[in-house]
Amino acid sequence: MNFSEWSAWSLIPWSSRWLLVADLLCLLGVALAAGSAFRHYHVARRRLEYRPGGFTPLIGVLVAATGCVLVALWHRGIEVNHFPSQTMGEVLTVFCLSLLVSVLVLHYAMGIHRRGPGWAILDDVLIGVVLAGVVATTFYIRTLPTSQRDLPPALQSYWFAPHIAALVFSYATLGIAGILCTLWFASRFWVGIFAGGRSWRSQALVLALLCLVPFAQVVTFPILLLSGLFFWLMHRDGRLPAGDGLMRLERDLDEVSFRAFAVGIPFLTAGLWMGSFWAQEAWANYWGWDSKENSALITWLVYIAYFHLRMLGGYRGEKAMAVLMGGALSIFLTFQIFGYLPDSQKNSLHKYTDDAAPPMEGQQGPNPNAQARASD
Amino acid sequence: MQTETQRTPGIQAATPGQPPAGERPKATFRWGFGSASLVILLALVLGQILGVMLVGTAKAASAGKLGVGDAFFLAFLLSALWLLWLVRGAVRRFLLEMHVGVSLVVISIAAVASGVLVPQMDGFEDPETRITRQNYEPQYQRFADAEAYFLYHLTHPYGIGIPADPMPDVEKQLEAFGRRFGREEEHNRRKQMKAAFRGMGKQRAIQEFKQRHEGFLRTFFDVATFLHLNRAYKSYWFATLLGLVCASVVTNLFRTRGQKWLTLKKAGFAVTHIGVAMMLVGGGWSKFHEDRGILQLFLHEPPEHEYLQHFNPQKRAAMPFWVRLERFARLDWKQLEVHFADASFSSRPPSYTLWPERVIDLDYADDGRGGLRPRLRLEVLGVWEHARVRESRLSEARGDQLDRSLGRIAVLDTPDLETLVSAFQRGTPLEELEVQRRSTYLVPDYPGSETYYGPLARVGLDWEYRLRAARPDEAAALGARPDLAALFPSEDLLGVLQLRELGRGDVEPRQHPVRLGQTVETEGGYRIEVVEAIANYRTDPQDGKEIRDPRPLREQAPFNPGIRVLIHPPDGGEPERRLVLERVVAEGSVEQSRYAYPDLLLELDWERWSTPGPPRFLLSWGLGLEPRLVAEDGRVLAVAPGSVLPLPGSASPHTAGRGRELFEHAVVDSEIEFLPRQVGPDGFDQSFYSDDVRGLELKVTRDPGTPEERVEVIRMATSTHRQRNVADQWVSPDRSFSLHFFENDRAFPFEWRSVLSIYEADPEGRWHVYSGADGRLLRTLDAELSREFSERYGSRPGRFRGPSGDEDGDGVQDFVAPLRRVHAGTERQREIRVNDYFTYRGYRFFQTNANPAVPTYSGIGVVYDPGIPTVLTGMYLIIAGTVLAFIVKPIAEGRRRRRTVA
Repeated sequence: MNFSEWSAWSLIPWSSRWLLVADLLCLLGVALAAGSAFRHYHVARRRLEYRPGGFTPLIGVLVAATGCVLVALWHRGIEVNHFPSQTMGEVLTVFCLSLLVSVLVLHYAMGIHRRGPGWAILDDVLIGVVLAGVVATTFYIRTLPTSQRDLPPALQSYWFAPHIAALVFSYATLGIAGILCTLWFASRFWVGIFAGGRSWRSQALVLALLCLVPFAQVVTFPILLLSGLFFWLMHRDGRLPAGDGLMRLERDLDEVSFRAFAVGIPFLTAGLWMGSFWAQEAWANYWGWDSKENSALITWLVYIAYFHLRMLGGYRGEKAMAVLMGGALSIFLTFQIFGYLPDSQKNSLHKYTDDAAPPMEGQQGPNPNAQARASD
Repeated sequence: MQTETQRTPGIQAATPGQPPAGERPKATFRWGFGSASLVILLALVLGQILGVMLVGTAKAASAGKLGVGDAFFLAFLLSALWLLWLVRGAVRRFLLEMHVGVSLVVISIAAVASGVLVPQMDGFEDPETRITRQNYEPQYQRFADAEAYFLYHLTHPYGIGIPADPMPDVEKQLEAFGRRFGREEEHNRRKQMKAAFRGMGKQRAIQEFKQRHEGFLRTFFDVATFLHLNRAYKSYWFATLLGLVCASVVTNLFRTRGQKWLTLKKAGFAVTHIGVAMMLVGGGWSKFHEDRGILQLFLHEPPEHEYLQHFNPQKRAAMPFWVRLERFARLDWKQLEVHFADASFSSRPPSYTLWPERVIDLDYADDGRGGLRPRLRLEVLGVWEHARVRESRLSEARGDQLDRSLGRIAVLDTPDLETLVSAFQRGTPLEELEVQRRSTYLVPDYPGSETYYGPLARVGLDWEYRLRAARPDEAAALGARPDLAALFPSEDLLGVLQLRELGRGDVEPRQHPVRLGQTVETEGGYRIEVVEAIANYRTDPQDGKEIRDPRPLREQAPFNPGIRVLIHPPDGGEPERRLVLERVVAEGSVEQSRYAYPDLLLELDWERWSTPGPPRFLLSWGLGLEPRLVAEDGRVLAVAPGSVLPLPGSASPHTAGRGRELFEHAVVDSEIEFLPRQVGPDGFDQSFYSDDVRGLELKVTRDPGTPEERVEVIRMATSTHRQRNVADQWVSPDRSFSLHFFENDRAFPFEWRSVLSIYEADPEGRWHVYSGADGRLLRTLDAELSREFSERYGSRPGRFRGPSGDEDGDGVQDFVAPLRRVHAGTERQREIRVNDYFTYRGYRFFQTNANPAVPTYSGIGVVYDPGIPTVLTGMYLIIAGTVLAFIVKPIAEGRRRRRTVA
């Protein structure tokens, strides 16, 4: 879709129209987040009295964008006559909604903006990154086919909506935890660059970690550049955190990311095992060792390892952050890269979002003709 | 977590646990990740070895051939268990270590990941499946394809270096398509084409990658096979790992006293760990007792108790009772296609799934303000599952009705197919049947509706003639000396092969007429040789093998036609033998991905008129000419409306076709009645299993929102393979477009349902006769006859070969069995659907598959797994525990903290 076609407003489905409005709001939100961050930086720099805002224009735009994506999903449901999670475009729209809801929930649940102007900047950056992520995701959605697809029999289940919604919400929340980890590593990297005190090996390792994750250009590069700009400004003003200040910053980022994890993990757990209850009803097979199921299980186990290391081993800092980031990476593999994995090349039962693959739900085993054809 | 030992220098041996003075304090061994992982990995190796040996010993024991080696092994096993008991304290301490727990989780991640990164072998669900000499090559090829695909993408991140060919310039066609079917459809077609072109060359590159790294891939496959990585989840090492995880979870659970489990602090931990333990214990229970497979049932057949274990036709297992398919039906998606008379697109028009209130805008025109407006709006007012089409009343159009005319239509009076099907199934001679007739319509203007292939073609009897309505140009040529060669082309054309090479980015199929023995050369270099023609492809439900018809092709009715081709690849590699069936849509089919050359998509349109077959006739009427019938041998026969057509089989009232009415400008007045569903008080919908057609009420608006707006409300009904009617088509008065309402049985259905009935062995060994249609008990055979039956047939039920074979006269052959039908619930309780299974004596039955080509077949999944309730309870507990730990606990603690502060 290009701008000349957007002029033919009446030809665009209602769901796309609302998504377009949400995009514009998100872009506005990014600008507001940048403005808010700048304002908070000004407050911090001048040591002015900081009064945390309540329902700021940025939050207003965030709520409005969330409402627009929700309405877009509602319309998509009407356009396809079922819960809209049958194609990758639809699932990603649910993901956008989850991102917006997650950042709203975390904004209030973590309350980091109340701690001081520095933390308010972090909150602004987080909201800005998420809004930019939503714009990037909807841009990608527009490259995908939007045809209505009928639900195969197995997907016509009451588990369909809660299973997908719980998983996608957890992906969004844990993804935000992953963004916080990226911020943690980025801050460590830039403080090392501007203030020194870190070996080139550890710097190279951090840089490699941030650059070698898949689709680094979407998440880690922008964060690295933005944080670089921020720390350069701090360095210029001689306010670069050091010593106890740096330790406190890292400890607080660690704690905040854990809170994001704590919000996401119950949903990940519920989504994962709801899939098992559903598979049990559809095929009396609560676990079929399908590649998608296994990828999701790996993700869950990574977070279980993170939790045990943190709670029992007392892990904090870079090791815990690296494991948490590994979880986000595993989510990304499960959600977007799963189709490339070797075991997914078989007829996976979860390829329903792949437009080129026939859905396999409900169709298992040989039937009279298939047997003979297979042996042909 | 182990606490650090306090060591205070200077304190003498008086302190218990401290070494005597002068001795160095004994260093306490602390488990690290490395040491813990090493021990766990050793345990896995040991578990794999013990598992293999234990199974060998168990087999020997069951065969009564226990040897000295087995005895030594059992003694060793007992000794090992005794040793473990002796050092149970150390084992417990090991399992309580945080490093051990996390190592177990990390190794579990690696184990599960190994099964994702190494494609699991076909049939790995069956624990007994192994790579053997027989299946090595096909298993390797699938492994190599999957790994090559993965590794190729891994070595080309962000698509860098992946070859891509330019997309052809089809913008004009897409623009025209978009004008008719909307911008969204146009965008979707463009996206699909782009995606297809991105695949151009990539497939070839992946194949080259695979060939280039053949040695590495083979070594990888052999190593994976040796380590059981390609059946990871069914290996003994994986079972050992899960056992260790379970032991660790249970040990850590009991490290805290039971009373503490109920505190806010520990409740989440306890519930989650109990859940994990239950899930693993239930899974272990499943591993030893589970069995699963597929029960292939057919309507009107006697009960069955054998199922194919793990979907393997060569592996059969029996249940302790018998199951019969009482009812089966599928409900397909109701769809609409729109054809515009002045537009011809090589690609298939979109099919619109229908639901009430759906609005479809089509045929866009400039609105005069620089934008576009739809000239046609279709609004679904209602969709009905059940409809009845009263005999469509056709009449010759009057002057003012000419714009509503469907054109020339011949109404034939033909034998009723259902009656003939029943007769064929029972083996009843046609002469004994009561004559039943049905209307058949020949419409020369609609492809597929212009030909009638003799009444018996559909039921597998002799195919007696082919009758086609002559097109206007043909009708004019049917003079005194018709050009027979032009009207009746030679009978060597089998059909048209629709061919697409995905590797070349083909989006539209290329069409090649094919004959037996002919070779088609594709642009991509494939040579496709047609080696066999099959008129009616069938398979034996018992062994899955093809049933070959020895008769010449001419005598076989083309019920399920297809061809076999040999595909020679461009590089001179191994040719692939492929069956191309008319009914199978290759694109997206499961088989397509399993072919040796999956980038070559082949579909077939069987040409019934020009393949070898029974005599052909052309029926001509209207256009100012006398009605006549022209036979292939040149005879021209006069036809009078209402008279019997002089066709083969016309002597029998059961097979004779009668030309009842011949219209030049037919106007149809179909009366369609929409019927309600018949749902019983228990929710059982009996009407689901009826043969009713589906109904549609549609609001057709032309030029919506303009002063020229015209609105028409129409009713339509689908056709079924048993009931063909003209109400599934609707032509606009100005003939600018037509609508086709149909059930799409070429894709996934909306739903399948089966009703099962259960039979148990008769304790007295008596045989009973049951109704073939509904499985009712008709009578019980006396003891002597029962004994005779048992001696002759064992315990296997069979079709009843009594005096009539159909004692209750329901038209279906009865069956006889030494079984008693048991009450296993109401029909609703015995009804299964996807997502809704039925359980009897621990066996779960669920709707697994079906086949539109075999409408009486229903694939019923069978699972016996006593571990399911434990596993599911465990999973529910894990969710509950996580919610307690991460949501309830922080909220409650926060409140408590606030209260304390206050």
